Amino acid sequence: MNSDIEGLGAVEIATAVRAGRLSAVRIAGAALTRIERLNGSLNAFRVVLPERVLAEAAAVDQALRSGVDPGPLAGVPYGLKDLFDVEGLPTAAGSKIGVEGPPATRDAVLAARMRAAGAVLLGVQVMDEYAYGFTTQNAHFGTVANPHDPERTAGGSSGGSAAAVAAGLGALALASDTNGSIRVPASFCGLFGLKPTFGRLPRTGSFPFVFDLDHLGPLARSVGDLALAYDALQGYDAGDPACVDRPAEPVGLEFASTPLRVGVLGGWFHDMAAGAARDAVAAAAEALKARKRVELHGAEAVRSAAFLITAASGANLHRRNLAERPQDFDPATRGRLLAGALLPADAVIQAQRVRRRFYEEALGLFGDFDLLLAPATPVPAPRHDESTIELAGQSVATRPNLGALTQPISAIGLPVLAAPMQAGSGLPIGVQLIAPPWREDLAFAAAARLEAAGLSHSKAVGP
Amino acid sequence: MADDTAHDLALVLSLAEVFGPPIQPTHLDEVVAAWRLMRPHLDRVRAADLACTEEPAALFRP
Repeated sequence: MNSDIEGLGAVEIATAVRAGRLSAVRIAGAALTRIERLNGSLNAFRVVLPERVLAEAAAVDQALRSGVDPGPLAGVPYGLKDLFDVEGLPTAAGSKIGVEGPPATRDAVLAARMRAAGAVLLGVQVMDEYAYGFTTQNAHFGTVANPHDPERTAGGSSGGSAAAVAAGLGALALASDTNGSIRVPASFCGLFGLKPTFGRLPRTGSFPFVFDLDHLGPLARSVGDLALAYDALQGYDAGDPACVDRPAEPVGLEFASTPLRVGVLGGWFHDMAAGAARDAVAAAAEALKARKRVELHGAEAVRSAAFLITAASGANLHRRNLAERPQDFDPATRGRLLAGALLPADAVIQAQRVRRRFYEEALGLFGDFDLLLAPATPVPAPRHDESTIELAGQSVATRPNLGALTQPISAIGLPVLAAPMQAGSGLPIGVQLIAPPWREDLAFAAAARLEAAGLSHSKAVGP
Repeated sequence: MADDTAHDLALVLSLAEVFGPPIQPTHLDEVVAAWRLMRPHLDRVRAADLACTEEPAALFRP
């Protein structure tokens, strides 16, 4: 009987394992049992690795018996989005082409850091093909269901990772965020998700999408769990040319209680949010004593810039396969990549210029504010077949607009913590806590306040 | 509509130039649909009032 341990978070598990109150093997076994029970309906994991997870858990238990510190994530079961290298498996990145490729010869750097910290790997999780989507409806590997309502999307492109953590299929997941792929599924599945500063976490051994927009980060059910994972992941690695050589800056588990100057983003970030998203921001603003609304000019333009840079870079990345085996792509991905190959170079360069101007605008706001607050998604999770949503008085296509509020921020590399709130419908919806470069600690401090106030919380859902 | 058709034809020709024979007619339909979604973004970026002498983005590179 595992009901006493199935919903435990990373901090609880690591504390209990390190104290000898629970064995890592028992935790791993309970996670595998839960996956066996729920993954058929959720489609969160593409590959489950029972032998590996049990072996890693046994090693943690053995280390403890030998008096060796197994690490801060001792015995914590977690999953990886299907774009991290896992030794012995092809890195599919949600694609038929990838799954037919050669197996990885070693784990991605962040996966190796998780293992070194004592975490145990459950498997790899379903995503949109090549991370190009916000709904995780994958023509090759199926659609991921939202644990809060299986008729609704889990978000994307890290939908499998978010659905897994929300359903308690592991305590943590590592995912990627190019235009919102951590924050959108975190919002829809009711999780905490971190997109760190661009260049903070090395991407070595992960399959790319857009080299100068790709970020990696964790998903979790509590601020403490998120912090524990984030601290274990930090550190320079020369294998990623974008990784910045600066010392790790652990956020720890005791978050600052000093007053925070929080500005509420208006304009685009208000206009493109439906009622539930605006309510979530209002509740978070009240708890954080954020009274001022501020404008961040150019958000719509930089979102468009991110669109173009993404399409052009993705097309360049997949150029050869698009020419030689286009039939093997997910049709939802293929058309956009092909169109991206046709973008004029002058427009892509101009998009980079738009991006730089917007970055300077954002930095200017941080003279008056420690953090900026915005909705993470325009709406709570739509139904799988909901092709349009109402925004700013207009009916707009669902899939391309779910990242309307995340794209402007990732385009300029700022650190963002997505924190879950409750919509009136009972569905979760997230807010973005946006910090200046390298100040993830401020976003953690704000999220901890929302959590302590009972506004921002998450627990494993499902039978 | 005539403009749209001419534009779509130009896209098809561009695609053939870039990718060559393996591209299938169904893929062309997808490209036209994707291009129509992307077009407003292209127009918005082109309309940005920024001098071409301004340096494009360079974020937090080491």
